[in-house]
Amino acid sequence: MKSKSNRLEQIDAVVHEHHSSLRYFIRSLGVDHTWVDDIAQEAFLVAYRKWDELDSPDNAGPWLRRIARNLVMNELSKSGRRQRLLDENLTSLLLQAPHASMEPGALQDCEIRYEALRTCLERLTDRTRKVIDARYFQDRNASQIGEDLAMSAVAVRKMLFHARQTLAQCLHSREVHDAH
Amino acid sequence: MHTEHPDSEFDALCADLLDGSIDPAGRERLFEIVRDDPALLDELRRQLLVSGSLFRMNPKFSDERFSFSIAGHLRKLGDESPSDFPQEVGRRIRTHRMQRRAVIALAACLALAAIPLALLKKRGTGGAPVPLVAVATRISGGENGAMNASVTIHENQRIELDEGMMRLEFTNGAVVAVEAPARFTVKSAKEIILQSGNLNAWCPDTAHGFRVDTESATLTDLGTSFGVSARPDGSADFMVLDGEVEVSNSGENRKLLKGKAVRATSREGLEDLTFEPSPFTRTWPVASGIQSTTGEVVPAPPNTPEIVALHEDDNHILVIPERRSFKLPPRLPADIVEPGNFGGRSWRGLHGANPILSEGTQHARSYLLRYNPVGVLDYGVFKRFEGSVTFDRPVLGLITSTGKLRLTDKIATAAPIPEPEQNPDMRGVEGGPKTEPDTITLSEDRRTVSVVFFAGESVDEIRVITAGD
Repeated sequence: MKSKSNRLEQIDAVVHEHHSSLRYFIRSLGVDHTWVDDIAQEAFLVAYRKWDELDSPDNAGPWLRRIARNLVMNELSKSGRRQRLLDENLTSLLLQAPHASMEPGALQDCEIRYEALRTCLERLTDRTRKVIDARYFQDRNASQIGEDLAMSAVAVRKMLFHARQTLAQCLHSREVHDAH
Repeated sequence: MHTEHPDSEFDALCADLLDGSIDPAGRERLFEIVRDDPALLDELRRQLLVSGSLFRMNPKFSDERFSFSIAGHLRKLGDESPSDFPQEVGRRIRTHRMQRRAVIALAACLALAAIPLALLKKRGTGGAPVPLVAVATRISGGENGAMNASVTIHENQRIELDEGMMRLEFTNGAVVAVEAPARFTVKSAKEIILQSGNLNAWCPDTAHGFRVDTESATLTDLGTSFGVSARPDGSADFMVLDGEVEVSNSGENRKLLKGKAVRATSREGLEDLTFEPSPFTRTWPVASGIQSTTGEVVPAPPNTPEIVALHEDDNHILVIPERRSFKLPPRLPADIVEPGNFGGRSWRGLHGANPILSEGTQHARSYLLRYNPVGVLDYGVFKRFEGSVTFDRPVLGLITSTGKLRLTDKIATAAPIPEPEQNPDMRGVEGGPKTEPDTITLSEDRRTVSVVFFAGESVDEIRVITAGD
């Protein structure tokens, strides 16, 4: 049995190292963004309780992702808590078909660094950034944004979709560039 | 990376899903589409990841905030028995959900956050204005605290201060000074989230209710000057230098008057703390309107007005903040009201009948430059002091004569100034046959007062009246 102080010290380090990637992973499984942190917190709590089952802190990343995956799977079997998922069927598919970069050991490759995201945001048009601001910083939905900016809700959703695509492409190109 | 597909049905459905506006039929259709097309499933995952990343640029969902929260939570659980654990987890998760819902509701009312705003600002878009809540000025870490250009701060702007200090002047009149290293978020004109670091704040009537949130407790101003120190372990100290605040922590509320302090921790709640304001030695003067000093002129150490008024120092001229805001009478007696050199070899003397004129609606602040030695110098022995002080507001006038100091004591002092034991009739800058001539200079921009004092057996004082809020 590891001592309590040693365990706390180790899990502090694990939280520090993995909380960011774990939250990305949970989001990639179709968890509503407002619940991502809750599930990440639960994952760390489970990890804390089962700390003795971890053979080495070096393997904490894949272990935490397994715990998080199980927690998300549990969401599928608890009908009263499905509001934590965007859609249970889609989550089922996302759980079954892991993305290549989500394989153990490669997760950090898909982490989206803030600096890169800022740079990519700068490349968007002013109007697109304004819509992103409204959605992600003012937490307004497409209908509300449309009213503010004299756009249809459909047009707002379409703009957000293409903005996310553009950002994903930009981030990917930066990853490739940085890798060389 | 981007998958082309023949029609926009996937795009529209995916956009609806992430907007939260997809209907059951749309969900089913989207499921059918991605079930049969792994590339589109990848596209959906990318959309989720980018969407999640954008949300996490919002300070409410930031990595730092989460890490800060979870680390303290796990540490606390380490002290609980195994049987407490499941109940505690359940309770905390429920609480966390409720808090999250409240945060989301609040976020809907808040305006744009830092980074995208900065981008918008750079690009000069003509969109809806984002609420500006403060003007910030960086102050370098050097001894004399050089000021940098001011920048505007908007709601929800997150700031990481790695060196020096930052002075924030809010639109409601509150003034906050933060010392590096510090991490904080300016949530609105009435609220700061302090993750770590030291800050001092002064809140005028228009800013009462100003809040400082820390991991372990929240301070609400009730008309005051206060200091907060937040540590990375989640604990925080709250000290009241003047007036009153309320500190709350998980249902426990305490009202604190000046000279009182509490420490808040997630484990112990609120505990009395010895009032020891030295951690605010650098921030208190800045929050009090003293931008910088040079030479032997230094800010008084932070404390309550009564204690500051009693402070003695053999080697410095102290700049003591007096009344923070008072209404100027139509004529306030003063000696110097124009920029220039006075005393010494200047043709203009240190004293004169030069009142500060006002229409009776203008507010002002006062400060005292005071040489008050611990002991008494021998008769005929003088010490030379030279230095300057720069204020954050223009100086309206200087009061250098004992008579005018006394006349203005009632309106300008925040606490009684003790009467000098030696030569009580010579409080002001009084040149005499045994002394070298003192010199006072008011800079052209009216913000800097420079002095050369030859201090002897008596206290020397200059009252500085600056513009108010």
